[in-house]
Amino acid sequence: MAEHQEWLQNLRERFLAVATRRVPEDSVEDVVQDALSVVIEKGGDQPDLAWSFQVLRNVIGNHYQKTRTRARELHPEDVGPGSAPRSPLEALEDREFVDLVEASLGDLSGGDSDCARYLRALLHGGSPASIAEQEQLDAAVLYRRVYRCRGKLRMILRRKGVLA
Amino acid sequence: MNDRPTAPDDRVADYRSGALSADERRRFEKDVLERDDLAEELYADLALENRMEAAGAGGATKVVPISRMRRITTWAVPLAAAAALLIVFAQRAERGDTQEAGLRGSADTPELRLTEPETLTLGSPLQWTAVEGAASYRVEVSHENGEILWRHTARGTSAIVQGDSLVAGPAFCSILALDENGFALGTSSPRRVLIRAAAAE
Repeated sequence: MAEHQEWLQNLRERFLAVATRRVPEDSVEDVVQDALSVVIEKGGDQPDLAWSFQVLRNVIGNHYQKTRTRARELHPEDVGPGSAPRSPLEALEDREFVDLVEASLGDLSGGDSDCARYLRALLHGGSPASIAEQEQLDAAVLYRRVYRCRGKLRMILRRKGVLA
Repeated sequence: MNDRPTAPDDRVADYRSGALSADERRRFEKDVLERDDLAEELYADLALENRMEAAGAGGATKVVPISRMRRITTWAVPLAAAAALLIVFAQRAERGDTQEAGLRGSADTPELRLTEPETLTLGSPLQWTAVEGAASYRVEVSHENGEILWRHTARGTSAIVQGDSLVAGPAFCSILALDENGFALGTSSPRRVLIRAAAAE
């Protein structure tokens, strides 16, 4: 029991750190609380950590989904000060997101054409299994490569100022 | 608190793909819980992958249902996941949903039913339309600057509007439909409303 409490306390600290970088200050506690509630209610005694982070991701996604809906409905002048998203990438509509990633993949393709090819295929709905087959790679090998490619893409997006 | 960016750690990839042994997995999870940089790396990679998948799928899966979460943390069943997505998209296409499915004008979206146009009367019930599959609804009334004035979770499709933080004046009201796991099914458009004191006051 004490071990589980310690686990939850540590998870809460990590969630707070992640959420603080991505949602406005006055929403951080709500987001973390919502995520932890789901983890506690649905996760059982030993929740999978990746699943727990996916819960947090969904809750943050809900937050930005609501923000995007609000932004579409309101005139810009109705949106109060301090409402600028901490994670501009999350605040983008899907079409804007795709355009931005496409442009970033253009930046990436000069240095690493494999990465640009993998990520472009995934961006346009390709499945990892089909890409691994096309590339004649073991799925685990492709996953490592794609992970590193996403890391490069994140660096480009940070340089563009759109990623927390 | 450590700052980003962090160095790539292939354990993140191996952990997410299920390639770590049970011992390695336990050690990695312990490290994540103790290190902000590793937690940030795990989250950032997962979030970008999710966003790319959702955008690539035409934006139809903005939120991943929790029932599928455990499966998408690994690529062990990618074909099943892809098939599930295809079914979802096909169902949405059959219903004629647009890219904004679930947000506006679809059966996934709760709609406010105000007894008086654009008015919320304190102490009176606020009602909205039901959404299929919704287990609860989160009602939010916010100030024009976005500050949340009142938040209430209801199992049904009505709630009594009351709270110390609610005062007469202009505000916005929205309803978020949640599934049994607490994840969003659809959000109503924020409605401009005027909060009015109870008639007896």
